[in-house]
Amino acid sequence: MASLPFHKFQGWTRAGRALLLTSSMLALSACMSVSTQKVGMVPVAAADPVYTIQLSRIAIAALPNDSSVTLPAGSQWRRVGALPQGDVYRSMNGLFTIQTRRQGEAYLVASSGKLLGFYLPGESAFMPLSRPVTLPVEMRQ
Amino acid sequence: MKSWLKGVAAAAIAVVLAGCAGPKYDALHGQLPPIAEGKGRIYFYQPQPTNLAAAQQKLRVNNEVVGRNKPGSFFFVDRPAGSYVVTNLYWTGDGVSFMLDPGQTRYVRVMAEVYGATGAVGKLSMQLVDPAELAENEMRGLRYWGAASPERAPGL
Repeated sequence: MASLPFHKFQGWTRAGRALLLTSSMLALSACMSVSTQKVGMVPVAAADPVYTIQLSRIAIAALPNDSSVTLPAGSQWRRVGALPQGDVYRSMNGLFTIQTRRQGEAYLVASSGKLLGFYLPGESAFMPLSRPVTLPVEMRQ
Repeated sequence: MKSWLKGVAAAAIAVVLAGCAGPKYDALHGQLPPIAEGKGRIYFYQPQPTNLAAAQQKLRVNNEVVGRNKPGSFFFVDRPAGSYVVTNLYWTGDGVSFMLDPGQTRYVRVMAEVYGATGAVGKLSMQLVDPAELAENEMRGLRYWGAASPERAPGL
């Protein structure tokens, strides 16, 4: 019985460690997270003409979480819809993803030749760039 | 005599465990049910040794538990076309997100961190795998883990 207070202390230590571990993991996951806005994309009508763009050289966009995304030279993108922020383009060269707290499929959001952010279709969310990037568009159809 | 008995017991256990293991992806090719109209398919697979002492965790699709991971195994679920978030950790929001088109198949690779030769494992991570050929190649030697999911494909 004399050891009871010690066991109690040990229990609290374990609880404290668990709490510390949990808060550390949450803090680490928060490092990678970025702010997004829930938004609904208006898809292009089936009757609309197909509109695609191709990049003449790579474009690098800095994400708000201090990582960056590279859009490959020669990559082709098809307009699939629109947001209040701009037109939405989906990769025609396979899956395009960005890494925030999770790996998410991403579409480009562009207006007036500038990349303004990414639309995450799996989350119906828009992630704005803190600094828009000029898109080196080579070809439009 | 005792060692002989142990051998028999080990063989019996191996037979039972082999019975639990599903067919390999290669063997299932062509036997998988077609994707229903308006739906897509999401594969989950863990291309790691089966003897890895990885804890099985619940895998969620849009917050709904669809199964558990298992090293050396795969399973799939069919879902209506739409937006999906797949995660194993409900509270951190890790995982992957994607659009699932009608008739489309997405592949989610699940990996457990392994600490060197200790055999100890850490947290699970997920990656969307593209192109499909890469995922299919990685799944070739994996076994169907239908028991992982309440949506087990009938007959497999």
